[in-house]
Amino acid sequence: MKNSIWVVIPAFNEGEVIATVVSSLRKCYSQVIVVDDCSSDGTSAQALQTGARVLRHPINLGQGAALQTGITDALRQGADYIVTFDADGQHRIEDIAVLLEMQKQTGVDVVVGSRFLGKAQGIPALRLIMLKLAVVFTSITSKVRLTDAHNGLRVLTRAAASRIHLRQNRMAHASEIIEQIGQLKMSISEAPVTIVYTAYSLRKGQKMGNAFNILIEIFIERINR
Amino acid sequence: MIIKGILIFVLMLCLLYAFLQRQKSRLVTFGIAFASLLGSLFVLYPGLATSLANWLGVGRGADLILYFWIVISILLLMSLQFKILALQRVITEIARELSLRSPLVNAGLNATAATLGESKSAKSIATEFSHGE
Repeated sequence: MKNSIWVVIPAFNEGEVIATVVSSLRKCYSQVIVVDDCSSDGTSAQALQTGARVLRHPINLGQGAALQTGITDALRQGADYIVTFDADGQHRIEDIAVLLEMQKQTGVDVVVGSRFLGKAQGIPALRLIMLKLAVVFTSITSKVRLTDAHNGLRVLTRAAASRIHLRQNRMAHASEIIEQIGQLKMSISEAPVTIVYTAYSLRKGQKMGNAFNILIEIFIERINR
Repeated sequence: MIIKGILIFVLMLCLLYAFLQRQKSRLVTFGIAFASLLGSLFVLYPGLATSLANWLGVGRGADLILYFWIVISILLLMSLQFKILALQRVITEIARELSLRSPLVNAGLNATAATLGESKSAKSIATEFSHGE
């Protein structure tokens, strides 16, 4: 029986690009879940039109929460492999196949994309520095060594996805997922991917200050355990 | 004497609070309990406070008590913050389950999305939730 692949896209106010992203995706992967994090620009309607399965949060919870909702849904739909994919068009669809192939070859629990093994087209200098710092931070806190610690393009096996449960609702989820992978002693490898920085995605992207917020959120979570 | 009574009463409330909190965070519970008991001791025997204060290098017993009071307050606030975080987690799980149980269906393009959520009440709840972080 063919393995079921579900692509999960957390989205907040991506009405401008979500239709394009979903329709391009659906040419290769028919099962796409868009989790609308309570957008106000018709993101849901756009995603529905292009044939995605759409869930909508009744209140805005954050990208991490939307991602977890999508993962939970994919598991309930019987997914064997879950692909996490960004809504803003920064990820290339071809790279999904690269990740899936790596999973097939290595049998690891999780494969994440790395723009530093691959390409980061048009990356702003400051963003590059922040990402490199994130790599150092992640390797210290989670004891997982990656070249790109903040990449939203991932492939999770069903088993891995069922064991992960994200509690960070907002941007710190990216670090949390790596941390949980480390804690649960799951295997992870990286595959080269291309990240395309368009004017749209840069506009919507992370502000520098967010890195600080993420650090605080992770710190609080640590105390709270 | 009245002041002593009031102070002891409030400190006992703190102690009770710490006891009720014991499952949430051990550290905070012990902190509050210790500070409450010590505070009560000082209220009853101010001389003790002065002796301890001098030993610690602080001017007056009253100053020492003040410092302890500040510490209790901070611990209580931290404890409240953790409670809020726990609440947010519960809210997240409920909101998640709601969305999982009602996937949107393409029954007439914009109609469904419009009715399901982009309404005023949902938005005001949303603002409160995210600003509470």
